[in-house]
Amino acid sequence: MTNASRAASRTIRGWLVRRSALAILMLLIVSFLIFCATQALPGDVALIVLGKEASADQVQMVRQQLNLDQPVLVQYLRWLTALLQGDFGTSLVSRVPVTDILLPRIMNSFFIVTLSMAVAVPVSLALGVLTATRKDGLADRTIMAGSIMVNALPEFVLGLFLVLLLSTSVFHVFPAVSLLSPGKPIWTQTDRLAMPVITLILLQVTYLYRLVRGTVIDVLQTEYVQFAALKGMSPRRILFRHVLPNALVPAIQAAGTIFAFSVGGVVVIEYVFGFPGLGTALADAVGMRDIPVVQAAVLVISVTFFVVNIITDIVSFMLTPPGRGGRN
Amino acid sequence: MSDKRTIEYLTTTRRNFLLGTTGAVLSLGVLPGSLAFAADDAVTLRVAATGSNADSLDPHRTQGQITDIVRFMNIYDGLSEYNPDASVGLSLAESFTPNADSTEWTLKLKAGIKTHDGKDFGADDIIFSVKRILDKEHPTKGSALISFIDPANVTKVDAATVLFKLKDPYGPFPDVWANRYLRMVPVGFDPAKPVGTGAFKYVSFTPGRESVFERFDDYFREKAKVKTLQIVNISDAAASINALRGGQVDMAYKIPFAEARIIVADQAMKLLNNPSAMAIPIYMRTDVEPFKDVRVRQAFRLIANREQMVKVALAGYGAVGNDVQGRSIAPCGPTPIEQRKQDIAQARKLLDEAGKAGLTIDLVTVNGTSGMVECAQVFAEQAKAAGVTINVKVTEEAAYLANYGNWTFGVDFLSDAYLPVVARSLLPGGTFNTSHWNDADFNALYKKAVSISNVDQRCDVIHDMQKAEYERGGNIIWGFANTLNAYKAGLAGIEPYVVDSPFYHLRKVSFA
Repeated sequence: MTNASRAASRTIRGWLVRRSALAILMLLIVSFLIFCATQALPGDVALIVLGKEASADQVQMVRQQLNLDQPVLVQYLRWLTALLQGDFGTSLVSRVPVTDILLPRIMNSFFIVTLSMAVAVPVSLALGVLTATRKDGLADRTIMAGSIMVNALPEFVLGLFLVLLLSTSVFHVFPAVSLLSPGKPIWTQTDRLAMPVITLILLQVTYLYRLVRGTVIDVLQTEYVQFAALKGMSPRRILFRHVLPNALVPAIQAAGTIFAFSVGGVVVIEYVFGFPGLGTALADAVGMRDIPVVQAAVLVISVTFFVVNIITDIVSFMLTPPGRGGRN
Repeated sequence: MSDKRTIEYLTTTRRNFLLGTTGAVLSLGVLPGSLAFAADDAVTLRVAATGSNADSLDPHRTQGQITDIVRFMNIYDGLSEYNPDASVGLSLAESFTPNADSTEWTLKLKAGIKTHDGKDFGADDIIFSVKRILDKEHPTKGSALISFIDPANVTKVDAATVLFKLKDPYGPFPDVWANRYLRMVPVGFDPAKPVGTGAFKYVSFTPGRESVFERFDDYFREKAKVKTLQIVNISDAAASINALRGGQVDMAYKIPFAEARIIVADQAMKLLNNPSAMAIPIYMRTDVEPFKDVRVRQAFRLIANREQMVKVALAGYGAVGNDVQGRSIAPCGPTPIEQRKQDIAQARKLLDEAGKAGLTIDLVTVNGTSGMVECAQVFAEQAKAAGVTINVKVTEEAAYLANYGNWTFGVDFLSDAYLPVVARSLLPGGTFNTSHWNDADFNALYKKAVSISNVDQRCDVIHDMQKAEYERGGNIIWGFANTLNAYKAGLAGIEPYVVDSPFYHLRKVSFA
């Protein structure tokens, strides 16, 4: 390794350390804010556990058992101390470790989002380049109209439409609901993932390809691309050597955001397909005021955003030509 | 990174990175996957119901989610059980024998009852279960139902006989044990390795996902007709119906009224319309203004166009109510009281007399069961004709529960036979007594009713209680909602239940 590359690595390392320190601070703030927000919500987990039949004495007893009778700050510090020791706590409602509840769901969510992105990103790139190079042509207009239509539909309508089309009414190709067997790894049950994955792909591609299209159109109009064309460089070479790498950066940033959002934010899709993901676990936990589960789920989603941002920044950094905004 | 060599390094890395990631992404994009359906196992009955991560195998310490109830009704038994028409039959019990004044009840168990682990089930197990249900340290849903029992006064007579000595007479003693929250478990019961006496025994359980059970071949009565029972959690009603239509499940519990026509229109599915005892009362607190005055309560009851509420809020899947709890069900039959009808002029007159003309009030409701929000909205519209402004406040469940019992004007739902509903919702101290009704005559009638063990005599008193409810109660009981379930055409042994559900008796279900 040369001195220069060592220097570059050191710079990246320093930047990573700074970003990580900032992220940990941010996570602390987020966790405290979420804790405060759950306290501000009306309702009591003891009442949720016991239901409407509960007497005041029973509620009080459960509150004591769950340490809910202690000051909020004490509860938060107790949670934080345990977290620093690697203990995410125990669900107040189901009384099982939070990790037992969330770990399979985290894996499920990451798996289908990764799978959908693995298809959506290359498809978006291809469609984006195709429609940008045929701007205002029939293919461009048709794909654009389809994409706007898909994006305009609420997620659950799109999901239900796909169920009617592919599962229950027109074709019977895929199972309508993702009934995953808990005992088997998710990657051995891909047939049951088809519907949520297809829905995610459609939502991701229709957004991402328009971004790629727009950026490619912008790059195609730059002076250096026009110069390359005047120089006699082949259109294919211009496209793949000069246009695509420069058009990728915004797409990568957007793909990262979509990935992080999809991990915890596709609750509606999870409900429509009965998919046991992180989003529904969080929504259910909020409904039941199960604070340790809410805290852990939010933490996972926050960490995902942080890690994905770091990765997309590094990737963008790698892709950006040094003379055009790469780190100096 | 101004160094030229650094730029070279990064440029080279950029190209390599592009090539590398493109290859990796493309290889991921074509991940293989078998997209064929798994073959259906005709000996496995697959049931979809709503639950959550708080799912439990403990029949006593449960949040009472549908998945929990379906599970424990099929793996444990009660001493008695509801028949489809809401009459009570005996289950584990061979007989209940009272003394002259119903203060002592002798329970005799059936012979040959085995637990899933092969042991004999007997008197010790009953005493253990009763103590477990009444354990004050670990509150259970069933404790309020049998709070009249002192566990210290439950004694073993012999291996199959238990004596209950009560402080006060309790006539409907055999009936109370039919309640779903009073399942019997063997001594040393551990919910982590659940053992019961039911028609199905435990195989696996993943909270919030699924649970699997297999037929218990030593069951003390007719064995289950399917070999395996799989209960899967599906929260969304549309997903539940889609799973049924797509052949992924055989029975679906949660069918909203609005979706019923989808099931009816599809020949591959059957709708089960249970005429349940579930009332969706609009309650008025009788101890605070403006409902302290019985004229205001009666005026509000006269505002209700009950036929319209059943038609709109329940999509017609229900029956009109008459401000009296308990649908016309066994054992007492229809209520001999004239049906109350909408009378806006009389409602206005009563409000005028009470000095409450032009009243404005909030009506609190929650998306608890189908019809709870809709009935409030329809009622608010109907109230305009009487010059009453009702602002419907739809709350989140936790927020609703946080102030449960304190709302002045709200919507609730209750499902049970008459006397248990009265104990919980119409007597002082009842946890569901949202109207805070405390009527001395009514309370005395209840005391009298529960002291009578003769059913006909008890029904006479119950009719008097219903009259008191009709005349001065705090609930607008505008209708009773049916419970809708759906199942795959071709299943046999499914019949409608009034208090229970066919999902609680899955041993009777078979593939035709």
